[in-house]
Amino acid sequence: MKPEIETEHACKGTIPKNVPRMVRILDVIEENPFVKTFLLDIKMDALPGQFVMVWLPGLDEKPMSVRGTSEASPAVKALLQKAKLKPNSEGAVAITVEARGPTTKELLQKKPNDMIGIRGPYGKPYSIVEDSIMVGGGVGMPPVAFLADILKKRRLLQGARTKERLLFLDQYEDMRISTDDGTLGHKGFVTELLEEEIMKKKPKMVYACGPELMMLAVLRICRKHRIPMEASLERYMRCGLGVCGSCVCGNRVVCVEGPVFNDKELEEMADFGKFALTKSARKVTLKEYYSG
Amino acid sequence: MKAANETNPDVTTEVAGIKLNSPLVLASGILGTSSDILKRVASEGAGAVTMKSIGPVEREGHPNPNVIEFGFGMLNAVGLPTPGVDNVLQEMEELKTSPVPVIASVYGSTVDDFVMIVEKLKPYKPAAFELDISCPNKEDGLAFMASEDVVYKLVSSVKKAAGNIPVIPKLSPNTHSIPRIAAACKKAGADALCAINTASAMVINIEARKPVLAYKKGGLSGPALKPIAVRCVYEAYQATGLPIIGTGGVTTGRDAIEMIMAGASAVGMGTAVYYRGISAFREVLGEMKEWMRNNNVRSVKEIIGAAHY
Ligand SMILES: Cc1cc2nc3c(=O)[nH]c(=O)nc-3n(C[C@H](O)[C@H](O)[C@H](O)COP(=O)(O)OP(=O)(O)OC[C@H]3O[C@@H](n4cnc5c(N)ncnc54)[C@H](O)[C@@H]3O)c2cc1C
Ligand SMILES: Cc1cc2nc3c(=O)[nH]c(=O)nc-3n(C[C@H](O)[C@H](O)[C@H](O)COP(=O)(O)O)c2cc1C
Ligand code: FES
Repeated sequence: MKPEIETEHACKGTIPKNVPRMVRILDVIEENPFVKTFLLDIKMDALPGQFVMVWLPGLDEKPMSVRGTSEASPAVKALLQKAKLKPNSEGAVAITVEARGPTTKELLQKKPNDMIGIRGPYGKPYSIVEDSIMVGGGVGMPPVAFLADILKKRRLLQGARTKERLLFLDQYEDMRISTDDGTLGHKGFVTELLEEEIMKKKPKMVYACGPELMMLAVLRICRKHRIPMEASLERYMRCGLGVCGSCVCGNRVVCVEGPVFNDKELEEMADFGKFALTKSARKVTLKEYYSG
Repeated sequence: MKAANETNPDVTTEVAGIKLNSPLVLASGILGTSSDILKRVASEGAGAVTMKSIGPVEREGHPNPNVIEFGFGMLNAVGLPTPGVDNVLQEMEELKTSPVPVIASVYGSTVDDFVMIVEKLKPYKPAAFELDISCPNKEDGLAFMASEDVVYKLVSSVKKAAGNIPVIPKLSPNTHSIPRIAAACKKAGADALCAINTASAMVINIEARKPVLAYKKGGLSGPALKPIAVRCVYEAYQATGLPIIGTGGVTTGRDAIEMIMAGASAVGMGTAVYYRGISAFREVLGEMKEWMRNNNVRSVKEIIGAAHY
């Protein structure tokens, strides 16, 4: 393979793909008190599991999963039609964002017609296997919902701490729910719903995205039942291009070789379920990583 | 006797007494954040690997965006994030089982910083210390490149601290004179040179009306940097005759050969990992061998500095 150096972009005056381009926010949908979905005026060939880098000029740039594209996701297309929106770029991308720190809080203040920077899509998507079960937790839901839009034969499970944290309830009537406090659906862990569903009928594939310990539990269940699985990892990201090394997990480069990995890869990954690198590239336990 | 084009060309080389099975070295700051990933790059064909530059104390680096690719290369202002020397000792321990030589890259604001880090890392016996005196993305990153006296003092102090571990200052193109700085390094006892680090640059997003990188400026790497790197290696070789790890914009076998002809004994690759993945090391080596066979070059050592006349 010869390197693909994109001199063409630069010479023809178009924006090279790895420089953020400013795109208009078409619509903002409040999913729950902590989470909003943004419809962005940009046409993009993205697949479930891939992510974009979202730039707020002067502040920061952060990775966000693609919730869906107007081409591939009927749910996103429906959102466009409902709001009677006509994007200039003849396509739209949705991202679903939870307020966590300074950048996401600032992003959640944005209104329709505001501009934000986008580059991508990046990363390896989920494989597409019919007759599967997908398990989403928290802001792991967006890529899982995108996948649910594409597959015809699938079962969708969502777990959350409490009812008001749940996402996309009105978009998927057949979705099974669990909450830690029992405020909606099954009281307990979403992995318990997964075991139940596997007992009903063994699926051909299980997809997971959510807290890493949940994904580790899903991996163990799938191994027990000999079902292939794929999970999407979250690590601190800078370049998204596979050079800076911020996102490495074990000996894998999450931004380009992932974020989606299969059961075999996850089992071989020394740090999965255990360690992550901080912003300063110090290896810490997941608990320490998520406590800030 | 077999003709050269039928034999397997000799791609072994040597820098500062370190023997390399391939001249292609992973440049500092590319993927080298942990022992696991460094060992993987080593097992996938690099002749040596360089760790991400290690600083005196923990540092987070700059906000995003801090790396972009703009069509002719990359700009980065990662800002030298580091766990700090005390937190990399465990990784150093694990790197003892690396299949290829490991170069420890070191940075600091003062001579004392460099000496302190080198003394702490010395017991782990890295193959060499590379001195990052050339990062354009930290307030004082280029201070040592500004004067022959200052760089002399740094390199001679580190040489004393490093004992028998070779010391390799890494030069920046952002200097008044590569030959003079290179000569000062040699006079101070440098065992080899690495040339070059990135060149200070900027990309502006005209819709946002702002520089894209959060640090505003960043270091240029990749194809756009190559002719500058070749010139710097040429000048440093001419001025010192020291072995050089020629780095900057190498993404193909032809690029690597060009760097060697400019005077490099080994060739650093960084941004190539974006263009071609980790397999760049194996693929570029294959392309070098093919070129050598077609041009009757039996050994890399034969063509080091071949472009000088
Ligand atoms: C592949 C991928 C997909 C993601 N998809 C979504 C999504 O669809 N929706 C969503 O709400 N969130 C998503 N995230 C998480 C999101 O990137 C962080 O919540 C966000 O970066 C927080 O930034 P902040 O400034 O608000 O908070 P900060 O205070 O800066 O950080 C809070 C926490 O967010 C994480 N984080 C911060 N910066 C980064 C970074 N550069 N890269 C990775 N993690 C970071 C860290 O765990 C950190 O402790 C995704 C992350 C990854 C890696
Ligand atoms: C993302 C990135 C991070 C870098 N970090 C460092 C670093 O920490 N220390 C250093 O000496 N050089 C660093 N460099 C510079 C490279 O080692 C190399 O000198 C430069 O990129 C030119 O080579 P290339 O064109 O092959 O990438 C970095 C380069 C990039 C692209
Ligand atoms: S984010 Fe830079 S290598 Fe993955």
